[in-house]
Amino acid sequence: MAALVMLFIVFVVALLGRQHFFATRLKKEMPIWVEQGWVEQAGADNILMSVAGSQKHGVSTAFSILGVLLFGAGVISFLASNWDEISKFIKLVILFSSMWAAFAGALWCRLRDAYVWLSEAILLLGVILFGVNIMLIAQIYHIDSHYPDGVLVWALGGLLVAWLMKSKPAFVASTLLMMLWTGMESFGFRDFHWQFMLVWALHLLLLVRYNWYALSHLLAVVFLLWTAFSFFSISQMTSTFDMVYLLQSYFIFYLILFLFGMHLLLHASMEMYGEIIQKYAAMAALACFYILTFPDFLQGKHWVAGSYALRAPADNLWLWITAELFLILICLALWHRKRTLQQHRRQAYHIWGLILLGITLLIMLMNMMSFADSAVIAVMFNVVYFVMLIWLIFFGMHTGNSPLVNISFLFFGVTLLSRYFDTFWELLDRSLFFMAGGVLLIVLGIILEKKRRKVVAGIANEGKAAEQRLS
Amino acid sequence: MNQSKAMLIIVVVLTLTLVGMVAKKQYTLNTGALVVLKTTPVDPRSLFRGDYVRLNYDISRLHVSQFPLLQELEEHDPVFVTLKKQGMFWQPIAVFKSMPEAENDMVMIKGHISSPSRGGKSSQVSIKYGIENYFVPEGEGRDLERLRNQGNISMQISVDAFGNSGIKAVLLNGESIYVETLF
Repeated sequence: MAALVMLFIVFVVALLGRQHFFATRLKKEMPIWVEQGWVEQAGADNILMSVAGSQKHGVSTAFSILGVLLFGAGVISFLASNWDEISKFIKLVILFSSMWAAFAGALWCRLRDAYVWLSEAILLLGVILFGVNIMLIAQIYHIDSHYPDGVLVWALGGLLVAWLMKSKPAFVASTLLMMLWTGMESFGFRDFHWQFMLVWALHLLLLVRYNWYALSHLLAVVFLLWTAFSFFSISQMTSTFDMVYLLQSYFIFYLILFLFGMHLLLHASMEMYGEIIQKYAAMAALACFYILTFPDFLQGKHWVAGSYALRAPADNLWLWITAELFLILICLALWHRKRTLQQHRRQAYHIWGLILLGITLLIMLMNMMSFADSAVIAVMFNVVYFVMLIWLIFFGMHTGNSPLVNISFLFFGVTLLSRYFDTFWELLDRSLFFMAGGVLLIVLGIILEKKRRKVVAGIANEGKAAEQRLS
Repeated sequence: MNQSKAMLIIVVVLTLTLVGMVAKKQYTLNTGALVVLKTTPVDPRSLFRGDYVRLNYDISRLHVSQFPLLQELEEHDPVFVTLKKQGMFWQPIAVFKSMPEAENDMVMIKGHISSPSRGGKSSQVSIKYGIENYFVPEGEGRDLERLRNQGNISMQISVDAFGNSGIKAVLLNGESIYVETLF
């Protein structure tokens, strides 16, 4: 509970910081826009006033939400410490009436303009009290069932409130509870928790329906966390050395998501979601491939029956899974190429991307069939990885997607440093190793940051030029 | 849909969810047959919910040699155990995969396999009945643990017509020390 409250506080503070940053930037930029004649002075004043107003309400709402969280925590501890003094019937009356009171209060605030800002906080209190009631009824009746189910029911209650009252805080609470639920299922019961996808899809539907674009980042992060949880629950079911093949499958799966994002970019109404999917899918795919570049991991050395054994070639199941995933990936890539060809938007990066995909598949198959020594495979993976990063920078530049460029530079730097550590740790004297490492870090930082800024500035300039052409 | 209607739906749905939890258990407690089970509790503490005593019953672990059907059951499978009073306590006399007709002097309790048989006639199977937690007022868990160590604690369980069970009372040397009543 405390962790959930802390997460929520961090989220609210981050949201406020973002709002403040937006308002400050707008204040700086607005005079330039007026000077350029893009915005009338009266319009500019109205925009700034509106942003300042929403910022003021944002602060009030955030503080009232924090107040509600503290109040909710107080209610739980009060009931917990005075519980045995009260009869079961009175306990139930207190639980039900407190939840009804919170929802009635929220409705009262919603219907009065002066208190609308407070209604979100009281709605959230209602959602919290619903969860408290589930836990305390389970306690009153000594219910000992599958405990994550309680969190699921709580999350669904929050989702219902978010849906019917268009409440963003209730949506955030429901999403975080969904994450807690899948974490409990994955780590507590070690099953592949596919049911998460059903509840996640309900959240996605609501997000798209209300166009809560900013919250899609949260939903994307929770999805990635679920895939990470699932990785651990699936790896519990397979043997140690199968983790290499599982990671390869994960990489392809994230690439499928990346391509799905590319398809969404072709629809004007879905463009924003496409960008978010691309960003998180690229991050996850690069993280998977980064692990595959480690020779020790590829070797798959593990302890069996009192001695070390190396990874065995993949069985038919893994070959089948990889082939199926690649088939989906290639189909999506070719379909995307066809769609963009029709729109006369063919780019060189499409062809290079397809070639890179083919080479990656080939190396992955070699790795699965153990055609070559794992050290040779590791070198191949490293080469492909760096080419992939360069391709992604190129792709980011051509599509005006600066987050992709930033992510690629970050992974480029991290991987270079990792290879330095792998290669020179044994070869160099310790003091020389650290001195050279320090110099490498500084030089690498300067060069990569310089390059990154240049590329991102180029993207921004292109965007401005396009805007000017349009105006 | 206007705000008032939307809020009414929220309140009705969430309230019905909670009422469902209460009603199911209250039905078992009010209508069920009472059986007394021998226990061996342990005492962890729930971060969420104050003190509670973890309970293990004699019927929580059954031998495959005594009930061969258990060998066929997997984790999470439902199982119905027939209980018959033998002396002060109720003991398991048969297990079934589905709910059979109960005889007059017997009670059928429903559980789920939590740890299946690992093969061999000597192995045991763990079963959970949903009555393994008992929440006590804060600070009293240790006292109950002490009494547990003396081997004098047993539980009075209410079992309804569908095999669902709920804790009705905690007994010390056969006398109730905690009784679950609505009022």
